[in-house]
Amino acid sequence: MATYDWLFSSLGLDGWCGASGGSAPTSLSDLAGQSRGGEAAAPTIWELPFPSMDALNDSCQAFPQSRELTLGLERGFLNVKDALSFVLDPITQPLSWALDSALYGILNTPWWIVIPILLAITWLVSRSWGLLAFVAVSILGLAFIDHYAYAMQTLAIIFVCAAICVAIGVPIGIAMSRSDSMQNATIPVLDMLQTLPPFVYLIPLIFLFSVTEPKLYGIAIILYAIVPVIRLTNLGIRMVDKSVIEAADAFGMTDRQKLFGVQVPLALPNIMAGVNQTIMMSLAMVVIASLVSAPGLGVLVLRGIRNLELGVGLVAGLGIVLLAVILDRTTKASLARINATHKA
Amino acid sequence: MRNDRHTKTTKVEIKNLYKIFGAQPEEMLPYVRDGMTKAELMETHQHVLGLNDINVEVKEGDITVMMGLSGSGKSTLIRHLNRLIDPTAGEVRVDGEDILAYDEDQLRELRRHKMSMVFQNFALLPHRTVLDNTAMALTVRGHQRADYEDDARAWLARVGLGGSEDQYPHQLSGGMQQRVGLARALASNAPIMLMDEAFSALDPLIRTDMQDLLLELQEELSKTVIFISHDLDEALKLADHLVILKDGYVVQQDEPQKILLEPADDYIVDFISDINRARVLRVRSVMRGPSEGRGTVTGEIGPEETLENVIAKSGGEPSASFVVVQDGRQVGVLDMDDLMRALVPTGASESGMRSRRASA
Amino acid sequence: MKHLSKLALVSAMAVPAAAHAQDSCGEVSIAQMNWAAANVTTEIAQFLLEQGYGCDVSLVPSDTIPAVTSVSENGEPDIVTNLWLNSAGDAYRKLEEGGTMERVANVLEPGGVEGWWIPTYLAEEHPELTTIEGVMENPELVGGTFNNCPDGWGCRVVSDNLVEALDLEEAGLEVFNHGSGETLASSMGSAVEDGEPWFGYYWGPTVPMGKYDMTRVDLGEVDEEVHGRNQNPDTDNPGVSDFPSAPILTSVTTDFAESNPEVTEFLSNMSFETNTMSGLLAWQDENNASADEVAAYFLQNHQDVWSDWLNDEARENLANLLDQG
Repeated sequence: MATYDWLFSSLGLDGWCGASGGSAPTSLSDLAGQSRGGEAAAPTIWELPFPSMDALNDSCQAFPQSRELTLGLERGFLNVKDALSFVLDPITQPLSWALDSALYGILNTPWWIVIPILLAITWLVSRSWGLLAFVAVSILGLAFIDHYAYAMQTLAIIFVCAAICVAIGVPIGIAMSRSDSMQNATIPVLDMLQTLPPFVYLIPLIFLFSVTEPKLYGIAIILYAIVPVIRLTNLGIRMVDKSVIEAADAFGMTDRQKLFGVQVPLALPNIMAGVNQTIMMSLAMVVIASLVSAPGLGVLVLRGIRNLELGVGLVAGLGIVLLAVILDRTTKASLARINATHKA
Repeated sequence: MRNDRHTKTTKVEIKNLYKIFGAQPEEMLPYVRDGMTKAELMETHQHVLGLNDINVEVKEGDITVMMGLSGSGKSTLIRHLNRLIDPTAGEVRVDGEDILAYDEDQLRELRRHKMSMVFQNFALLPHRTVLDNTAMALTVRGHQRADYEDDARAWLARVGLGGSEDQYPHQLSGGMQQRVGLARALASNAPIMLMDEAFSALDPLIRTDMQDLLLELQEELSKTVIFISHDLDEALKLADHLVILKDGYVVQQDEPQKILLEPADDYIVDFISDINRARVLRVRSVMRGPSEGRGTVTGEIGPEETLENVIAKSGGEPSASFVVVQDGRQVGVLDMDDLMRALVPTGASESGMRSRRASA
Repeated sequence: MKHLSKLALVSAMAVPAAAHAQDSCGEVSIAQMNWAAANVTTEIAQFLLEQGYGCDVSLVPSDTIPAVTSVSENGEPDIVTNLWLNSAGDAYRKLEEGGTMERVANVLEPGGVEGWWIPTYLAEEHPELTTIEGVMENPELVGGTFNNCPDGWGCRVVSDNLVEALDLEEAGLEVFNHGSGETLASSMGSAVEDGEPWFGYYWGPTVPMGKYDMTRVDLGEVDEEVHGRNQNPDTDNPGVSDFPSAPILTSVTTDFAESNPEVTEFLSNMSFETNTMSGLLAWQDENNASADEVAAYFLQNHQDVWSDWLNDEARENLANLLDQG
C-alpha cells in the first residue's frame, strides 16, 4: 500500500499501472522497515513523500522511475555518440597533434635550449629584469629538484591550450560584441561552462574520444579556460569609449577598419586580462585533467593525494604555484606595457 | 558680408526633421505633429522627443551655431547631418542630395569626403601617435604613410602643434588634444566641418584661444562649419547664423545681432539677459541711416566694431556721435544715446528694442 | 487516531531496544573504499550491524592508503574492509606488526584477481596472445598499447617494474599511464564494446570485470619473492612474476576488537565468495542499481549465507528478514 495509490485509482489508471508495489529494487531503508516487523505504519502527514517519480512508481509500476530518466539520457547519448564522434573526432584531431608535438618538443629539446628560450620569451613580453630573474630562479629551482620534466609538460599543455583558447575565444568574443542576440545566446553557455564541475563534462568526453588521446584533456582544459577570454574580449570591445567609435564612424571607417584599427586595439588591455585569466584557469585545470591522463605536475599531486605522500604532493603543489606566479606575473607585465600606451 | 545670407548657396538643408527615442517612435509621430510637447510625450507614452520639426538651412562658408541647454537636442541634431543618428521623419539634404536615401557605401563616401567632425571629448585614438591621429581621415581612405605624412605635419603645424607628431594623445593637455582633433578634421579636407561642443571641455582661456584659432582658420579656408555649443558667449562670437533650440524645437534662428535685439520670446530674453551686450552688439546692428545724424560728429567707426569699442573711442563722452564708414563710404551714423539704448536689456518681442526699431 | 496509537506503540517499543543496543555496541566507523564491491560489502555490514546488533554505524568514504594511514595516525576508522593486502603494502604490515590492527577475515574468498588482460574475443581469434611472449611478438594485434594503472595505485608500481623487466616498450608496446581508474575502465569498456583490441591491467571482482568477458594474459610463474621486489618502487632488480591472487581482508583496530568482541566475531564470519560478489555486481549493472539496492538484494536472496554470520541475538532481531527466504 503506497502513498499515492489513490491518485492512480482515482484517475482510473489501475489497469495501466499493473500490480501495485513498485518495480524498484528494494532499498536498505525499506528492508529495515520490513525487518522491524510486518506492514509499516501508514505514514503520517509529516512523513508524506514528495510525489517524485520514484514515489509514484511505488504506487504504479508502469510509471517510470527517475533512474529510467538517467538511463534514457545515457542511451540517448550513446545513440548519437557514434555520429558525434564521427564529426568531432577529425575536427579535434589537430589538438592531439599539437599537444603531442608540444610535449614531444619540450621534452626532447635539451634543457639548455628550452630554458633560455623561456627566459627570452619572458624578457620579450615583460622587459623586466626583476621578473626575468624570478623566472630563472624558479625554473632552475624546479629543474634542480628533478621536477623539470613534469613542469615542462604542464607548461607545454598550458601553452597549447591557452593559445587555442585565444585563437577561438577572441573571435567568439568579437562576434558577441557585435551582436546582442549572439551575446544573449552565448552567455548562458559560458555560465554553464564556468559553473559545471569540470568532471561533469569529462564524462561525455570520455565516451566520445579514446581516453588515450591527449585531446581528451585538451578539450577539457579548453572548455574550462576559454570562458574569461571570451567574456573579456566581448566586454572590452563593448566598453571601448563610445566617442572614439563615433569618431571612427564619422570619418567613414568600414566595420573592418573599426574592428582592427580601433576596437581590438582599445580592448587589448581587457583582452590581455582575459588571456591572463585563461592561462591561470588552464593551470588550475591541468591538475584535474591529470585524472584523464594529462601528464605533468598534476600527476604528482594526484599521487600525493592517493597515497597520502605528503611531501610529493606538497612539492608538486609548490611547483604549480611557482608556475602560476610566473605565468601570472609575465602576462601582467605585458598587460602593464600595453596599458602604458593605452591611457585615454 | 555678414548680412548677405540670401545670396549664399545652401550647403546643408534640414527639413521637418523629427527624432523620437523609444520603443515605437513612428507611432508617436502623429501626437508630436499634433503639438504634444516633450514633457507630455514622456508623461503619457514614455517616449523621448529628441527633435521636433527642425528646419534649418546651413549656408556655404558660414559658421552656423546651434545652441541650447543640455537636453535641447543640439547634439542629436548634429549627428543627423552625417547620420550617426537616423531621424524618425524628415529630410537632410547635402548639396541638394537627400542623404537619408544613401546606402552604406554612399554614406561612407559622404563621411570620408564631405564631412569631418570634431568632438567634445576629443575622441582621439589613444594607441596612435598625434601624427597618425591627424591622418586618420587619410588612412581611412587608404593612403599610405608616405602620402599623408607631409599633409598631416602641415596641419599640425597650422594648429600650433609642430613637434608633437610622435607623442601619444595622453601626453598632451586637453587644449592640445583638441588642436589634434581640429587638425584631424582639417586634414580630411572635407568642405563641411561638424563641431560638437568642440571647446566645451576646455579651460576658459584655452577656449578663447581655440575660438580665435577657428575664426582665423575660417578666414582662410571658408569651410561650412556647424558648431554646437551651450555657451552663448561662444555662440555669439562664432556664429554667422544662430539657431537656438529648446526641448527639441527651434525657438529662434537668425543672425546673432538680430536675436539679441529682437528676442522671439521670454525664453530667449532670459537666455540673453546675462550677456555683455556691448561686447557682442556691433555698430551695423544699431546705427541709423547715413542721413539721420543729429549731433556733432566726433569720430569715424566701422560697421563691424563692437559697441564696447565705440564706448572706448568716445572716451565716456555722452554726447559723442560717430559716422560709420565702410570702404571709405559713409553707411550710417551712431549717437551715444542710441548706443546706450541698445545696451538696455530687451524684453520679449512686442516690447523694447523690437518695437523701438519698428517705430524707427 | 488508529494510526497515531500504532505509531506510539512502535516508538515505545523502539526506545528500550535502542537503549539496549547502545550498551552492546555503540558507535562504529567503517572505511568504505571507492569501488563497487567495497561499497556493497560495507552497506551490507552497516545494515546487519545496525539492525542486528544495534550499532550506530558511520561509513567513511576512503581509499586503501588513506584508510590505513588514518588508522595509523588517528586510530579511526574502527573497521577497514576490502583491504587489498598487496596494495596496502608496508604501511599495513607495519600496523599489524605494531599491534594496532588485526586481520579478522578474508572478506572475499578466494580473493581478488589482478593481472594483465585482453578481451576474450581477441584471445579466441589469436590464441597466441594469451601469453605475454605472444603479446610482445605481436604488439599490433593488441593495439600497440599497454594500458597501465594510474599513478599512485599499488598496481602501478608492480606494473612499472614488470614493464621494465619484460622490456615491454622495446617490443613496440607503448605504455599509456592512465590518470584515473575511470579512464582505465572506460578505455577497456569502449574497446570491448567496439570489438577492438585492448591490452592492460585490471582487477576483480569489479563491475567491468563482471560485465566484460576478459581473458588473462599469462605472465609466467607466480614467484612471491619476485613479486615482493616488484612492489618496491625503488627496486633495482625488477623481475617477471605474474600477480598472485590477492587476499582481500577485513581488519579492525585491536582496541575495537577488545571492546566489541561480538561485532568482531561477526566481521570474522563475514566473507563472500568471489563468484557471489561477481554475480551481485553483474546484477547491479543490469539493474542500474545503487550499492544500497545491491545490498538489499543480497540480504533478501542470500539469507542462507548471512544468517551464519550472526549471533543468536542478532538472528532474532532480523527474524523477519530471515523468514522471507
